[in-house]
Amino acid sequence: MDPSIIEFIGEKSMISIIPNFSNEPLHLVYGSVGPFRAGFPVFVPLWLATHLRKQQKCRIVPPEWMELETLEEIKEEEKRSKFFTKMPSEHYMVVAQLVMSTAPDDVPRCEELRTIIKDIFDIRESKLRTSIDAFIKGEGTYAKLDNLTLLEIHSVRPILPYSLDHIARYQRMATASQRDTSMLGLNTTGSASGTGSMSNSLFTQ
Amino acid sequence: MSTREIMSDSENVEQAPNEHELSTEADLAHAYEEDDDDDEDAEPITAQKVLEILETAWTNEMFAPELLQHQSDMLELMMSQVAHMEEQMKDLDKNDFRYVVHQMELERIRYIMASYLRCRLQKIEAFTQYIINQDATYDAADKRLSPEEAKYAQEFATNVDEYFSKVATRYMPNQQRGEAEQRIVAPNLMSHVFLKANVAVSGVIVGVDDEEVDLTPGSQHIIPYQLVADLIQKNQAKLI
Repeated sequence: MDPSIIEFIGEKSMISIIPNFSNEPLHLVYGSVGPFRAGFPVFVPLWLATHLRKQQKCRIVPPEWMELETLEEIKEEEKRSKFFTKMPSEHYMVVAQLVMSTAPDDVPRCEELRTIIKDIFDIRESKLRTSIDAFIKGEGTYAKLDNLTLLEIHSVRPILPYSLDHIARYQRMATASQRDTSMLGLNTTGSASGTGSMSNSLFTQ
Repeated sequence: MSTREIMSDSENVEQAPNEHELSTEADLAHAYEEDDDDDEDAEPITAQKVLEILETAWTNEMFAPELLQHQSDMLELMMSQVAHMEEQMKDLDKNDFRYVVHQMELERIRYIMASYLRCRLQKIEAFTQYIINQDATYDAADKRLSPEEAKYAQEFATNVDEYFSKVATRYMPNQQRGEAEQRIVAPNLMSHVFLKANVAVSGVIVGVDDEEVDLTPGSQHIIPYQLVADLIQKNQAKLI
């Protein structure tokens, strides 16, 4: 799946804006938004917020969690905890990225925030890699992934399910070929387990 | 013309699918239409709900290894809704705020629908014969393929067969042509997927050795698809 689809899905999250125009409520299929009154905050989907911001028709109010102290706390918590902590938003990376790229002026201390959010993401990513390593070595087929956000799940999608599928396939093949080695005329057990361990070692490098 | 007219649910809704639920929802939407402006709790639940269903179907379809149940009813409803809104909008000034916003939303909806159908076609082309065979075993009400998709799959299969026989297989000795059954490509149903539980489900078998876990609402898991396929079908969980 393309990361832009993650962004597309993340763009549905609601965000507060302060419009500089007035308009009646709009009845969108997603639900109604508005009424818009100049100077008064109103919640709109992120895709609308970024559009209006680009047209200079509003200011974006950064979400509550997009603030240095809160994020420091989250970062510390994330470092301390063995597990993944709950993020303030299911799409925190998407929201942060979109808000900060379209409206850097609306976010106080934007650059610092950018760094710390990236830090949090990196800590989580490395935690994710370590646990995947342990998971695959433990030969599991099932795991719980609570509190991981969509983007983080997506970052391991190309490798994790794929390698698990392969391992499962080799296992099946090994069992099958023990039963029936004559059909292909070769004994595949040796080569299958050989490649199997190779795909394991992908995670240790 | 006010924007709330734009929301008005199309008459087409009623002639759409024979499902009772759908027409009730359409009535709801009509009730909403006739309602006065300040009535807050009469939200346009219909179109919104249809869209939600389609979005879930879209993401499920993207991540499931096999073809899932078709959603032509929902698609048809949404298409008529989109067409209707466009009809209402065509008199608006192209630079009108309302026009731009509605247009943007419609583009998003159209993208979801197109991406969803595209994803299904990809699966149909990859697993043509498998899907046709499977579908033949289901009852009329549970068919995975919509009538149009079934027709497409059938034609695609015939064309591929003809092509292969024209360029290759007829020049081969008989025993190498092999049996048609051996050429069937099947999806790997045991491939691992990411899952999010919608409701509490207890006693889901998660491994080959019959290990069981209880899923709590909102919890996320990685698990072989086949073990949870029925949960997806029953909408107790969704793929992410």
